[in-house]
Amino acid sequence: MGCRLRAHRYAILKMRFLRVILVSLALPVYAAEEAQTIRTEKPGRRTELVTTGGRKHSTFLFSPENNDPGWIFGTGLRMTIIPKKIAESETRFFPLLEAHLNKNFLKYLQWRNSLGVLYLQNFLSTGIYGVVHGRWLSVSVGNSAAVWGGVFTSSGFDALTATLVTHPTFSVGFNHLSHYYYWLPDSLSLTFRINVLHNRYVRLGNSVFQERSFSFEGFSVLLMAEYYSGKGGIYFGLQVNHARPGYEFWLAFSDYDRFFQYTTMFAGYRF
Amino acid sequence: MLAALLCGGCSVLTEDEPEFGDSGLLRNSLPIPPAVMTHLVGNFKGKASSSLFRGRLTIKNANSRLALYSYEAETYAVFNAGCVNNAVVFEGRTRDPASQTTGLMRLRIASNQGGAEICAGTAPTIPHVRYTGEYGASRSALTETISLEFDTALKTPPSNLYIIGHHGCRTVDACGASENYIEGINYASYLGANAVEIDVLLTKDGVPFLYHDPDFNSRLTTGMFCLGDVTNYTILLIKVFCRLKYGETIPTLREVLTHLLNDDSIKMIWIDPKTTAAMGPIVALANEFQTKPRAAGGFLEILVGIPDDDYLNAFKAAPGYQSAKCLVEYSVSVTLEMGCRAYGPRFTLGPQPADAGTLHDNGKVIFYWTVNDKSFFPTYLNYGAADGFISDRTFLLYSYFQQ
Repeated sequence: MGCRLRAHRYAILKMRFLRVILVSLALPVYAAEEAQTIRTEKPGRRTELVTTGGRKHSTFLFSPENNDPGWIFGTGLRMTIIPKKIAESETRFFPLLEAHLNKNFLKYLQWRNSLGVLYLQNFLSTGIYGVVHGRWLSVSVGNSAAVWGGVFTSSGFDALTATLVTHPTFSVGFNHLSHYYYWLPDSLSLTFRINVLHNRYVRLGNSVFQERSFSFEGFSVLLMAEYYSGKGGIYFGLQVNHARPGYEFWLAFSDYDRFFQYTTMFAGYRF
Repeated sequence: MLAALLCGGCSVLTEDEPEFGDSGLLRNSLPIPPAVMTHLVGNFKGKASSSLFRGRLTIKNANSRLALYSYEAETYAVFNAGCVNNAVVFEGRTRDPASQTTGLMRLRIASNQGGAEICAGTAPTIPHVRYTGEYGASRSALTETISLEFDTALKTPPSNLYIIGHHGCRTVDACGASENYIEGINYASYLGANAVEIDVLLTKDGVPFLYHDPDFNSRLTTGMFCLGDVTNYTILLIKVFCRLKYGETIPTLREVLTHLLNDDSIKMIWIDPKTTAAMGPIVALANEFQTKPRAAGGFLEILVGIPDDDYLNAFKAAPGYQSAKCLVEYSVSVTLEMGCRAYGPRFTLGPQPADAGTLHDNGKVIFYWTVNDKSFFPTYLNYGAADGFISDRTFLLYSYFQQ
């Protein structure tokens, strides 16, 4: 039926993927500009805008807009769709229970910690970020170090792995969005994250295989929407990944040395 | 919606592959006399303009085709060959399975570099042939150059080592043919394998056939007429409506075993049943074919896989199971109790030196599956006392012994 995609068609798909990333980068900027226009047109709303709800601080888990001096805790679920070539006929959905614990200090610094658990695959991450709060935008730049690891000891597996990865990260948060359009989230942030692999440890039975490297493993772009909800908040995110399938899907023992495109979805509650 | 329905069998994961096709130099070539193929193989010092083929390069022949392996770059090329104007010309596809890129390569042995003698069916008068050529992403972009100078003769891997092609070769690796297909098994031998592991299911009318997944899907098949549970299809429907990724018809186990009787490059086939219902017909075919003499002499070694207790019970319920050779994947003790030929643990259990010792003491063998990372080879071969590996990268295992 001539259904197999030709090479140029494949290239077009790749270009479309890039276009999606570019559009996802551009849309929030456009939204912020729109918001600024409205602000200019209705200057009388400004005071109301920043104090709506009587909140003294913006409290968010993911957005650099967060300026709450207290500890901020949230938990939820992240679901990654494993690329078809890696999963083959096995399950393609990879869920992780996750928790976040963040703290602002010295006005311009954020300490962000997160934990993901599935026993087979887990991660623990900590990082320091510098933050600048503007009137319309907040920006953060920093680096997280993460250890991804897992254990599997049944039905033909006696395996354990641990991988050290760092994530240089840049985030931009769009402040007070919901004050401009009711249907916009209270905070929308866009995060660009790079994956750099350092050390990899694999134990199979009683044999250990170690690899020390410093390699670029890909990047991800996360669009995160956060909403106030009573005393807490809820968040929904969509992350597009362009990454090698190494540490994240270690159980597949994939030997592909190329970048795959796949998505991760986030949902959770901020206490 | 309509477009989605029409393209139900499409896969965005399938790349279009370059070919020389009718415009290749081999279109009007003369065949190379089989007797002189041995003068073409060996380990070569390669000089290539890109890093796609680097380090010591190995050239090996199998079933009248030639293959080039780069252990260092983990790449390979498989060629057709022929004589054109007293020069030997090789045209084929290059493949980097890790990055999943495919290209084309053309090599030649000039008439004054041994090509004339090779084409005449005699040994070259110079000590060793010399290859020159070019390669690239497509036929119109053969921009990279390569030359190969003979270094050493091929080193034979240990004669008792089984290099087992996973499903023949894997469709997702775009090896050049579909997995669990006759040509895929041929590719396994081009890529250094001397044995294959294949998956077998049972049709609605009781015919064992080669296929991996429980359903027909876009990962392994193409077209829109073959979808859903494989056990709903009779062999007639499968032959008429189902096509594998490279357009081939799905083979029956009998067709594959018949083919292997005439292919002496594969010494063993490991049949992995994907349903207990298939065990009876598989055992019957194994018993039938393991006693048939091969074209080149000897017999094909056929091992029936037993992945768990359910399959063990099905195996024991099959008439004539005592005559069939078996391979147990989950227990050394069951391997010994059943008198099976081999134990086949996942490599993810780690090397099993104690089990390997017990098995060897009892005249049995141990195969680890599925080992693709070359950094694992030494540990599993030496400490794990492996007698063989299932691998998607059989060319790496073969060329490991050339280093």
